[in-house]
Amino acid sequence: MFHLSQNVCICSTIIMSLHKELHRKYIQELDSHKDDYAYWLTEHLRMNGLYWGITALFTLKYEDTFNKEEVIDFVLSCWDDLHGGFGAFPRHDSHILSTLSAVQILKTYGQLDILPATKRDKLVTFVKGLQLKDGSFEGDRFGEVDTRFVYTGLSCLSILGELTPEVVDPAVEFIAQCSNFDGAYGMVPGAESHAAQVFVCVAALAIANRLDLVNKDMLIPWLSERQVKGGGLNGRPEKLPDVCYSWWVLSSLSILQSLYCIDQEALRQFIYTCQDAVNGGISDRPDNQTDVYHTLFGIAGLSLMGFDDLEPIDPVYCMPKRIVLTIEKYGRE
Amino acid sequence: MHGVKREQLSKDAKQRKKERDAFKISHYRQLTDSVLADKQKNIFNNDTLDETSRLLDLNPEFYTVWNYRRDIITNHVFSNLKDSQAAHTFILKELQFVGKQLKSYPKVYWIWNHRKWLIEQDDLFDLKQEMALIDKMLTMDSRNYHVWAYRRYVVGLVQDKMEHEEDIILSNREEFNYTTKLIEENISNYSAWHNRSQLLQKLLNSKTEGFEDKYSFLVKELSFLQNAYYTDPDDSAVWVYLRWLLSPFFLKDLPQDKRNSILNDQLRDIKELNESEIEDSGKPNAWCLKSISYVQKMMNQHV
Ligand SMILES: [Zn+2]
Repeated sequence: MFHLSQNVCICSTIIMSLHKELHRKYIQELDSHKDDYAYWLTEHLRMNGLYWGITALFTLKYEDTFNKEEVIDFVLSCWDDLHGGFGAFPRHDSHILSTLSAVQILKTYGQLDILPATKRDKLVTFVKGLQLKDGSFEGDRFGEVDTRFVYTGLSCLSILGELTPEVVDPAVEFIAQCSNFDGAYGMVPGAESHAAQVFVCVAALAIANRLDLVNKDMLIPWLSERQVKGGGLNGRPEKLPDVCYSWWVLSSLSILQSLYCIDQEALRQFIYTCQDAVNGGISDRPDNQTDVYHTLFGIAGLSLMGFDDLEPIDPVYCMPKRIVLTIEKYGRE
Repeated sequence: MHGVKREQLSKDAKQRKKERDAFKISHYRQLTDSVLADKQKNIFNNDTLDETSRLLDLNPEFYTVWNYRRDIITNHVFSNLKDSQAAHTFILKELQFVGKQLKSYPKVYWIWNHRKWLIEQDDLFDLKQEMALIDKMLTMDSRNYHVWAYRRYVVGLVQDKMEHEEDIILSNREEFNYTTKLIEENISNYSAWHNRSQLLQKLLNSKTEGFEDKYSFLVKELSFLQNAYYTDPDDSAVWVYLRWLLSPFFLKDLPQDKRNSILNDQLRDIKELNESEIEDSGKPNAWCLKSISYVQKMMNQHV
């Protein structure tokens, strides 16, 4: 396959390594910035942030960094009994995104059983209750529909072993309607293709065991064309590269067994240059402010490409592969 | 976090920031505590509505507070209004609040959600006015994913209210012309190319004038596209669109001779463009090469 980036030289200072120890420290200290206003302004993302941090640490093979009991206690303290899901922080409303993060964290630590049957039932009812007639999912009771939530719903129910054809079939039908002229997928039917939406749609189809629906002839070239000068990947044509697409694009290619379509060495260098070599963490682009989200997706991208002796990550669930092996596969003998 | 420069603060600057932040943090935490406590007690009144405005001004991503605000509007504001005119007046005011937020945070999902929810509550809402706002926002950022999604959503609402098929076709045609205008301004606008692909499928199905015949439409569209790739042969948006125009979606219904003539013409033109690129820069154009091999593949597929 043709590489558009093949004759582009990367910036002169080549950093040849992943600063594992610094990133571990960066993630470990995220919860100690309580004198920083930004720490409080991101409470509504805390559950997701915790999932990103934990998954990055597991991928770095530093899984003992956080105190497991403290993590589980925090997750359980975000239970919202009124709606039956998890909020992002204590007293915040249930949302499908924070609920998936909570389930992923519990699963990663092997603690799903800590949820009593009553809560677990409520949780399954909450997630299933968010599915609409057309197969889509809303994020909470206020009706925002997005293929992100279809993936979130399927992933969550799959981890819990609760997928049924009644849920899966209409969801698959909805996703099929979100495919576009370029073979890629958007947020809702008619919406523009976007690499993050491609990941959620392709991964949801993978969970549903329906990858046969993907227009691979169109989608794979579109995904490989996300690589731009300098090796980074963008999310849409004519946009700037960003580390998080190392995950959204790569995971999609990996699910479609087409990682060879991009120049992996060039992408690796791009991710390296987005590291903060002093304080740890990875940013969206070189010299920007780091955050835990880009830190995870940079590391996860490197893991998918098999660099740096990292724990293999699963492209569908974005969790360590060895943990995903214990999830029951839907629709397969 | 996207697009924020990394900064290395000096010890002094760090200390000063810490002091400034301490004040902001205590204010923010007090307000958050009070809002969440009132929410837990289901207090729905004008004071709690104001309280959510203040908190959302500080943090427009606090989804729980948007939820609470909607519950206050439903259970307090609407239940005390006498008719839909009064509701309309309230919603206009609320839309101003949302509009102000969108100006500062045009990419925050939660704000867009609230706007959609509001419009759905208002029977008297003037959607034309909303299109004017959308046009303005696309002038500021013609690739904003949220604005485009919102545009299609509002156009959908407008069309839902139309009784005659011809009006819907006319509306799709206007939207199609809008994409032509944006592409003429900037051929790299992939969002416009995308919307064009959506609209033309609708227009082709409805056999609108200028769209009745797939072949003549395709010839016209290819010449429009050609102008674009001659303008900037390195632009990826144009080439992805070309790939679609030359895919089975269009070619499969055409008679063999017309299909061949389209593919042959394209192959000739792209090769010619590539030659001139080699003359100008000394090396072939990657997109031309890629497209040449694609056209050749399509030729073989159909023989
Ligand atoms: Zn990003």
